[in-house]
Amino acid sequence: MREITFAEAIREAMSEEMRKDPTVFVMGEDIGVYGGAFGVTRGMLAEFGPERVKDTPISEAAIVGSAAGAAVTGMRPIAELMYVDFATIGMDQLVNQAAKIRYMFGGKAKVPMVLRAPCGAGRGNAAQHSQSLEAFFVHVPGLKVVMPSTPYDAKGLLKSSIRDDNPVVFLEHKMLYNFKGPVPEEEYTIPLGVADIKREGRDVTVIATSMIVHKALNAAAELEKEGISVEVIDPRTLKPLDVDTLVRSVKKTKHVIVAHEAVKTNGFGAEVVAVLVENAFDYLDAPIIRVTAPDTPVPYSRPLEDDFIPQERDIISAIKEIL
Amino acid sequence: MSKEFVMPKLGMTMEEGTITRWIKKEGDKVEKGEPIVEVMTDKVNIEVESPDNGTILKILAKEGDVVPILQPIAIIGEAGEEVKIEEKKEAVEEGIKASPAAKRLAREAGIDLSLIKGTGPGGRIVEEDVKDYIESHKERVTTQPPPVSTPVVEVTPLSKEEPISSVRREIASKLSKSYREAVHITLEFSADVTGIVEIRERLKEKAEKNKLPVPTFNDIFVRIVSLVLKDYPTLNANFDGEKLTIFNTVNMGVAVAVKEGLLVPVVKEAEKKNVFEIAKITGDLVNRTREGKILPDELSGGTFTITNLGMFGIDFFTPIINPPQVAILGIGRIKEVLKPGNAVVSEVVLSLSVDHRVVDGAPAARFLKDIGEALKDPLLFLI
Repeated sequence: MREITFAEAIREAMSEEMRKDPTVFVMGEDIGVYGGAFGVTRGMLAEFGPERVKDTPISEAAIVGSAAGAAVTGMRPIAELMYVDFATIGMDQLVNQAAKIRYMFGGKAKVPMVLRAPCGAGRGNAAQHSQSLEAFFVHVPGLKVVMPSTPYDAKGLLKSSIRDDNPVVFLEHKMLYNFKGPVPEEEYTIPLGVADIKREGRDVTVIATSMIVHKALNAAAELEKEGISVEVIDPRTLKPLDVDTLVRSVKKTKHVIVAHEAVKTNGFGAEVVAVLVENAFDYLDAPIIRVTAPDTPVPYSRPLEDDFIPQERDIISAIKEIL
Repeated sequence: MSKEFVMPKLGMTMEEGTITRWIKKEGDKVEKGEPIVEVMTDKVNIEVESPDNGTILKILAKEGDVVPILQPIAIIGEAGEEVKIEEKKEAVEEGIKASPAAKRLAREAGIDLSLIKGTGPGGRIVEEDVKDYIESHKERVTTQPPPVSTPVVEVTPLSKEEPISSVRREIASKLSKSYREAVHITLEFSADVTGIVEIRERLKEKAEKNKLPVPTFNDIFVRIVSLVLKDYPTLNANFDGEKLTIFNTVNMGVAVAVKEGLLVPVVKEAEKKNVFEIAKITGDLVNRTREGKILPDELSGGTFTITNLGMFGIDFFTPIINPPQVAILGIGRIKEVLKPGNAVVSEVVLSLSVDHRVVDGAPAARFLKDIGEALKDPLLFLI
C-alpha cells in the first residue's frame, strides 16, 4: 500500500469530499496562497478556487461563528484554526452557538461543521502555541471530538466528520503532520466513536491518544523484549467514546495505563479512568495510572519541553509500577 | 476550661498502655490526686491519678483499649461545660489488600481472601493469585469425602486456654532469658539469727516510742546484706554477657508477690539508709506494688535482689537471678533449733544464687559466711 503523510491524508479527505459535495468548503487564516501554517491545504486553492478555499481575517471568533452560520444555512464548512490554543477566542461561538443550535431549535436546525486545529508540543512553540486542549471540547454536550494518530485514521475519520450533521472538533497533533503511513487509494471512511486496537497484548492495556499512541507502541516494543505483553488502544474519537472496546481490553489484561499529552488534572484521562471504574471495576487488578504532562504551561526550552511531554520511559515505568 | 487527660508516660521505655479499668465514669467529680483509671504497661498495673480538680466530661478510650502515650483518654473540666473534641484521624485499619478482580474471583469461587498470599505490588492479592489458589486446592476440594454424620456428644472441657497478661509475659521472657543465659549455682547457709530476733524486739519498742515504722525481718536483712555487699563488689553488679558493670552503691531489689506474678521494687542506695528508713521505703514500695500504683522506674535499676519466702514456711529454695543482676539472695523461714547442750537458737536458711559465669563459688560462699556472722552478732558487725 502507498504511504502518505498525515497532512496529505487530511488534504485528500477534504479534497475528495469537496469534489463530491459542492456544499463542502474550507476556510481559515492563510490557507489559500500560503497553504496554511502547516501546509495542509497546499494546492487546494488552485483546484477549488478562492470561493471554496477561503482566507479569513485573523479572528477566531469570526472563523468559528461564520462556519457555524454557514453550516446552519446549508453548507458543510471545514474551518481551520492556526493553533488550537486560539480556539479560546472562538469558544463562545463554538460552545454557545454551534454546540447548542440543534438542541435549542428542537432538531429543526443542524450544524454540520468541522473545526480543524493543530495541537500539541514538540516544536519549541512555547506556552501559547503548544497546548492540548481536547478536554475543553469533550466537556461540551453537542460537540464531537476526534483526535487521530495515523494518516489512515485521519483520512477516514475526517471524511466521516465532514459528513456528520453535528459540529466536530478535529484535533491534529502538529508533530504528526509529516508522519507517514499506509493509506489506500480507494475510498473508505472510519465511523466516529470506534476505537482501534493498535497492538494486541495480554498483560496491560495502554489507552493513548494522538502523538502518545506512537510512544505507547514504542514502549510496548521495548517491553516485549522483557516478556511483557502490552495492548495499545487508540480511542480515536474522544466523544463519543468507544467504551465497549476499552472495557473488553481491560477485562482481558486487568491492568490499565491512560496516556495523553495534555496536562493531568481534569484531562481526558480522568474521564477514561472514571468510565473504566464504572464499567470494569471488578476486572481491575491494579490502580489505573495516568501518564500525562505535568500541570504546567508548556515550556519553551527544548530540554524542558522534552521533559514536559510524556515519553516512552514514563509509560514503561508506569507499567512496571502496576504489574 | 476543659483539659485533655492523656495516657501518661510512666517509664522511660513506655510507648503505650492498656486501659484495664475506669475507676471513675463520665460525669464523676474528681479531685486532684484521686485515681481515675487503671492502666497496664508492659511492667505494671497502675492507677493513674487526676491532675486537677474537676469533672470527667468525656471518656475517650474504652477498657481494654491499647492507647499510645500522650494520646487523650478523657476530658476533664467543669460540670456542664461543652466538650470540644478535636477530630483525630483514625488510623486506617490494614485490611487485606486485594484488587477488584481478585475480589470478584474469590467471591465467585467462595474463597476467603485471607488464605491467599498476594504477589502484586505491595503484596496486593491479584487475580492470578486467586487462580493459583483455586488450581492448587482443586484436588482437595473435589476429592473430599462426603460428610459423615456423627453422633453429637456433649463433652465438658478438661482445660481452657487463657491469654496471659502483659506483665506475666514480661516476667516469663525475663526469667527464661535468665535461666537460659546465666549459669546458676545456689549455695545454702544456715544462719543463726537469735541476735536478730532479739534486736527486732528492741527495734519494735523504739519504733513505737518514736512513731516510726516497725522494721520487718526482711528490712533487717536488706540493711545487713547491703552493708556486707560493700566488701563484695562483683556481686553488686550487672552482667550483659560481655562486660560486668560494678556499682558503688546498692540498689536493693525486694521481690513482692502480686496478682500477676512477682515484681521487684528497688530501694535506692540501701547501704546509706538505717533500718527505719528502709522500713519506711519498703513498706511504701510494697504497698504501692500490691495496689498497682508502682511506677515502672521504681522497678528498674536494681543491683542485687532479696527474695523472701519465709512467711510461707519455706526453708530454702533456688532463686532465679533477676537479669542483668548477677546474684539473688533467698531467705527462708526463721525457726527455732535445738542445739547440743539444750541450747535453742533461731535459724534461717539463706539461699544465694549467683551467675557462675562471673561469680565463683568461693567468693559467693565467703559472702554468705560474712552475712551469717553479721546476723549472728549484729552489734559487733554494726560497731
